[in-house]
Amino acid sequence: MKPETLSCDRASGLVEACVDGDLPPAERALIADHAAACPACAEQIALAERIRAQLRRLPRQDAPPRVIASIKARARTERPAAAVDPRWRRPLWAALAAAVLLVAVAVSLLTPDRHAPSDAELIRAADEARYALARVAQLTSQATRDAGRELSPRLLARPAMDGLARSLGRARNAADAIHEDEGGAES
Amino acid sequence: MKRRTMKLQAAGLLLAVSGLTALPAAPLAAQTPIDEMPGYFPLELLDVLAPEDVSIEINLRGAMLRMISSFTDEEDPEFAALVAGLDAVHVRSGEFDPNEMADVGARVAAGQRWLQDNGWLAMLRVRDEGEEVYIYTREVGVEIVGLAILALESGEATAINLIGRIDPDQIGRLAAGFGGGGLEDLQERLDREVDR
Repeated sequence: MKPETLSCDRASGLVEACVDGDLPPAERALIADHAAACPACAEQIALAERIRAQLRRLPRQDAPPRVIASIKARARTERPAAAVDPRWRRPLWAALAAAVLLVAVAVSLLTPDRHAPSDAELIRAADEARYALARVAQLTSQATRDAGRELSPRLLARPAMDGLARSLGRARNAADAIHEDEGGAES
Repeated sequence: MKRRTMKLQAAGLLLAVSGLTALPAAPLAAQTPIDEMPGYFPLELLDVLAPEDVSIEINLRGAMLRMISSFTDEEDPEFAALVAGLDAVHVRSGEFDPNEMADVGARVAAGQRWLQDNGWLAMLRVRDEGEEVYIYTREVGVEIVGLAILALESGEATAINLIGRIDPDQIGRLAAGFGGGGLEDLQERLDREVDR
């Protein structure tokens, strides 16, 4: 007679009860045999055991007195719920614990590694930004000083360019000051 | 029936938690990559300068620019305000062999073609006594969201791209503060950091 073997579906349904010690020895043996041959189910059993261990490490807390009183009052007035197979109550808590772990892992993966720059790095970066902006102003002032032939006809007509036209006048003065210094240094 | 109900409850709980998990990722996913912003000019792709000729390379983006803005806000609020509006600052600058002028000029021309093909407006184009300066802007509505400058002057080539909210008036006022050799001082300071 061929020994009984479990399918993955059947084994999956018995995992929680097995981990909680609610299965008779024969069924526990079937689960063990199946896990030995099926890495996926073996992993599921290992996860269930880890979740169970972590749940049991959570601190016990007493419910507030008013909550207990409320539950007792409801128990007196409501009809008892139909019995639910205990093997299906545990998966909900296991799913919740697994979801909490999933959230923790996801947050750690999604949070970028934020290396806070040092003051020296920020000073240098600020200098780089100042240099870039100053070069922009210097080059534009040089261009307007030398321009005559190739100004865009839209330069003065578009409202957005008015600021550029004003700024070029100011930048020209700054660039002139730079060039005067260069001339003084060379002489 | 009860088993199905319990399974559905567990599945629903997992789906809800997965949705909450995805929420922190939403802002990350919503940030437009720099190279997809309208004001982006791919300096590194166009290679205006050969890599070995680049003596100044500046790449400042997003978070670093915000930090610079916060860091300098007290000492220089106008500079901080200008930087706060920027998404990226890219500069490539360096000297080239005069014998390579034709080659560098061709790459500058290629850069101009890219800008024109991608909706940029030529603000200024100046060629005078061997010096060339090309300034382009990228506008969305009436706002300037990108500034690109290509310059060849006395054996030095420069390519600059600013991305973000650009106020030319602010840049001009900032430039006024760099009179009296300020730009050269900055360049020397940056060079000393590189040599260290």
